[in-house]
Amino acid sequence: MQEIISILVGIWAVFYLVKQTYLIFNKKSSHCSNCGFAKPLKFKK
Amino acid sequence: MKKIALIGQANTGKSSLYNLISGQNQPTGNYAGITVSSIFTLLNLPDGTQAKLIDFPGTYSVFPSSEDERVVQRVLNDPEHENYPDLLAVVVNSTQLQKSIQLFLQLQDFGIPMVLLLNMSDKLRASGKKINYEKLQALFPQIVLIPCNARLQSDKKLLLQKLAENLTAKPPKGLYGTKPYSLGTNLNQQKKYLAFHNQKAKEITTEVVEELPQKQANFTLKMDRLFVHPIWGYGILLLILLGIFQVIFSFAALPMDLIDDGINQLAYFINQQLPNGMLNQLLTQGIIPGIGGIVMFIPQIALLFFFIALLEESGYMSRVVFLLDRLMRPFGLSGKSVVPLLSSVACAIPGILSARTIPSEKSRLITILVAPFMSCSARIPVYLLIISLIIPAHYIGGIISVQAIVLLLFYVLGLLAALGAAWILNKGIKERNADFLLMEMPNYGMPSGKNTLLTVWYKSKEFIFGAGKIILSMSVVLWFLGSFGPSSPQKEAELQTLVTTASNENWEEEKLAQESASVALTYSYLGRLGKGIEPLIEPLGYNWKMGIALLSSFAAREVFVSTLSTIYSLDGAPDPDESLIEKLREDTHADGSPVYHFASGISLMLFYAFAMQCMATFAVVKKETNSWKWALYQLIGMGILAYLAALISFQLLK
Repeated sequence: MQEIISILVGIWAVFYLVKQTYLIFNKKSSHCSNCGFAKPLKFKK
Repeated sequence: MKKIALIGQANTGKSSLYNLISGQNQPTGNYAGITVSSIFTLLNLPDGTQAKLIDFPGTYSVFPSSEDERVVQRVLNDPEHENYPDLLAVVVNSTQLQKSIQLFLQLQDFGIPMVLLLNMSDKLRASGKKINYEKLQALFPQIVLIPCNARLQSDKKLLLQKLAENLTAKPPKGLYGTKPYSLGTNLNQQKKYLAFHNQKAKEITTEVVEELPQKQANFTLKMDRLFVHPIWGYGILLLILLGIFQVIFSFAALPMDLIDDGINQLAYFINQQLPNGMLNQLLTQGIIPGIGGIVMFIPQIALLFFFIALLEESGYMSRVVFLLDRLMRPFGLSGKSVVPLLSSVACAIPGILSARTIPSEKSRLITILVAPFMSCSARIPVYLLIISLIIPAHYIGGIISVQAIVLLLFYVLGLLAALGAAWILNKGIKERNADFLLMEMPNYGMPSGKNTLLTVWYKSKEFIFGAGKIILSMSVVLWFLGSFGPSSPQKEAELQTLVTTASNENWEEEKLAQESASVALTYSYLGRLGKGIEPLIEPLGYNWKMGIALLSSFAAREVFVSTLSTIYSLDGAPDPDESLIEKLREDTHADGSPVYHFASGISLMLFYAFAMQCMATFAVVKKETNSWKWALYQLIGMGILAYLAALISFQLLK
């Protein structure tokens, strides 16, 4: 039983880290969840 | 659903009013640029209906000069916008009435129902003046004036009531007679428009602001002669910081030891209560030490936030902004870079976001690139741990703590690195920066206890829970990687040798278990990864365990401490009497020399002072610059600088 719970926790941890990495780079990081409708800057080329 | 927009210049107390009305705890401060994007919440109004309350970024005029001001323009110019308000609640800083009225007059031209929230009247009275509300009301009979105080909970009911009543108020008629957006981009027309409102605001202010009969001595002016003095001002700032750090080291040690002890006892208790097995070890060697490694720094972090909140509440922080502006100018940083850099002392991410207030693209880029050099709060656990390990708790002259001086030096080093990097980056830029810092200095005042404690609570919570789940999941992954490994004949041979030695030298069972765990950790996936990178970090004075902590802390700097806590717990069964600091102090290289000493500690702190060890900052830089190029330049540039500084310091000091 201990093994099963530990493995489930391990799967959650890996999934969580991957999900957070994805969210940080592709959507919103937890740090800027208040962004509302302000858009990031567009720097001129 | 009806929408209410909180609009006003920066530093009018908008965010504080938003918190009061909504019951939320958004960060507030008394210098401009705290709100750089809009935030909103749902309000339950006294009449049973719901409305959306939107806190807009501070804006000085309806013609935007920066990205955050553009947010306001975009919404007000587009009646179809999802956030186009039904009611404008214009927040007025009573101590800066003319500027606030100027914006209010411009907003009137949009023809949206309005109320005027007159905030900070207590501060105006403290400076010996008051607003004659009757006269002001007579000038704007169609607008409801609401004198209020964002610090008074009792004003919440009144504000909600007035906002609900005025949602269907009659739209006001503007004085200019033309909607601002109908002027298009014609600069002359815009100048004429602004000049008209400026003159009107001046006349209104002269008419409604009255001197109080018993004019109080101008305390603020007298204080400012000292606090923003070109020499004494900086001396006082350094003394204040030194005082804060000294308190952190002196008074937070006891609660920190108690928490550390409590965590050890908890791990030991669970270890004894649960049957031996994988979950027992995951909890007692992975999760509890990992989380505990960060939890034990809560007292220091909370104390630091408490003092920063006191400085903000008292009005001193605005003077720090002014002092830094003067310091940064020769290095090519624009006046508007000061707030983003100062915000980065808490966390580089809001700092980088607030760089949107800088109109010049190049100044904005430089600010974004140098902001992560400022010492953020995530570096504090690393600094505190290493300073506690390598700097003795001595007091110069029995008063000044050496540990506090070292911490202060690392904060100053962060600022100098930011200035130096800005100077170098600015060298290649032809454009002359023309941004000047325009800010209102609030009067000095007694800090509000509630606001201060709320700030401490909010920021401490953010610190713990912001990275909490990442620390938890990282601890779990590290435990798995440190507990399992590929089968290895070498490992079996070493374990066999240990058993033989233990039998020959009559080792206690506990010692054999600890040595065996150490060998198992070395041959685990984590150990192999650490050993793999050891040649790269050995010249910096680090062992493989520190190397793993360096790698994992790219998720967030504070993960460094929790990683070390987990790795050092994998070395054996939980010991209720041995703290993390003791474990680190006792760790030795193969030749018996200590791993953590002055040279390796300074090298490690220098690495953290300069390295861009934060995945979220990297992502935000990529987003804000809209380019992988700048984010990668920053990551690699800071990484090289950190490596070289750590290498040189270790080689010189060892």
